[in-house]
Amino acid sequence: MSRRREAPPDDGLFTSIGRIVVLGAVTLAGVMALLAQMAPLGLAPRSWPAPDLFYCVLAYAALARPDALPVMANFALALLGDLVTGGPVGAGALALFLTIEALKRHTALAYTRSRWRDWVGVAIGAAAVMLAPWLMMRLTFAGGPPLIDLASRWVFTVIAFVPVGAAMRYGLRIRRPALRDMGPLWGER
Amino acid sequence: MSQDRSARAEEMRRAVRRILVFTLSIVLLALFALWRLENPRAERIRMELVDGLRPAMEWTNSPARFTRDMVTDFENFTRVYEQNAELRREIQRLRVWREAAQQLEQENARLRALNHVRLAPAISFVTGEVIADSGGPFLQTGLANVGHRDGVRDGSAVMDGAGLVGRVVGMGRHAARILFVTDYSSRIPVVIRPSGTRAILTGDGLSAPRLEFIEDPDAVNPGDRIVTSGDGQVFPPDLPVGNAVLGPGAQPRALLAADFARLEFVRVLRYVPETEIDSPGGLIGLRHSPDLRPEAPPKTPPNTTDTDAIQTPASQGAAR
Repeated sequence: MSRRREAPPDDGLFTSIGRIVVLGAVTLAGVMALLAQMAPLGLAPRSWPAPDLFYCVLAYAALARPDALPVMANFALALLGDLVTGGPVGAGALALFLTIEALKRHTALAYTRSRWRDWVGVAIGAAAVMLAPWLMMRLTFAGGPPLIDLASRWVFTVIAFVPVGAAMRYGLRIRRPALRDMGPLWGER
Repeated sequence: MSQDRSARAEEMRRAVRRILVFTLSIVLLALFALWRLENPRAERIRMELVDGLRPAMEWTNSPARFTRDMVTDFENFTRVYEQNAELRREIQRLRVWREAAQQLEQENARLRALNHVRLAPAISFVTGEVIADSGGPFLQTGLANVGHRDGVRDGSAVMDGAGLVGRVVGMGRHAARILFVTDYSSRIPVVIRPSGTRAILTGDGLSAPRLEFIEDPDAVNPGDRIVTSGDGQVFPPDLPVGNAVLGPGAQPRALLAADFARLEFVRVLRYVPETEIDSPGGLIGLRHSPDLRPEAPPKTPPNTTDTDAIQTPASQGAAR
């Protein structure tokens, strides 16, 4: 059963400046998420897996304001995340970049979607972000963690999307614009 | 008419976006290939960026450390009496060991003096704080706030107070990335004491890495001490690693001496191998290569040639 979401009230004019402000807020939230997930809370192997907060931030931005996350900004943020964290350079960024673009397209296809559908999209995207680098590392004989480690991180990431989304919606006030304000700014439809 | 133009512009915009996405994907694939083929260069780029973000990481680390300390303090508080008794017993045991160690040190120094032993130079180190971990599941690494500026080199061994933690794999001016011994790509040559059997410590993501390519598996017993062998001249020899244990399926593993659960500060060793063998010895190739003949020994009285090599306990103490 999918609940149709009401268009939110008018958030103001969606001008270029507005989009830049949203992009700045998303970038700031992304950097904070990166720093938070890199905080050395559990260095021991097989300690509690840290959720991928960076992905949660970008995924929320892709779902709420795809117009404020252009392709180049998405690329730059994905690369930043890959370089700052200790993962395989390029592979993580590629998976994240393509997943966020796919989420943006998913958003562009329909304005009215249920939250469950969004969440399922985020969960599938999180799985892709983790599995694609794993596969690329395996194919190039670079080794990699067992899938069970990735599974636990995936579960934590999917759960973490809810509070991260709430923080961005109510804290940073990044939310979906009213239907009448979107027009050609709303990505490809 | 205007609708047609608008539709065409929209179509064009979509096409440009698709080309852009495709091109950027190729760029990222190329970056991955560069990382796999020439890791040090990619690491250098990465560490330049990390250097810039280091102050923010240290700032973020403070609340994380506060939380961790609070949890640890609470745990300690709940078993303070038990810990007190345990510490008293430990102090008694250590007093006995201290006496024995002092006697052994004096005896060792006397024997070295008698045998004219030339000791390896003392290894200096720099201590840094762990300010971040890898933040992802693919590599088990950490970032320490010491770098090139502090004399850290690529490949330097990293220890905590008790044992080997890993090695430096990326280095910026103010920060260094440490690959933990538990990482999937970590391979370290070790010696298992007392048998002297050599093996390779292979990380597999678990807290007790595997011991592979053991020279003589029958000579290894649970509880045996594992130290670095120094083969390959990346690590100095005899750094404590841990103890041998039998894992699932009777697989020999190393129970690490380093405490990863409470890893806050690390020591990065500034080790430079003393000798590099890059030419044949004096008896080999003399006829063919006159340039390689050994130099004539200095004309000094035989009784005084080795006096510099003698290290008294006092000089050893000063050197340390």
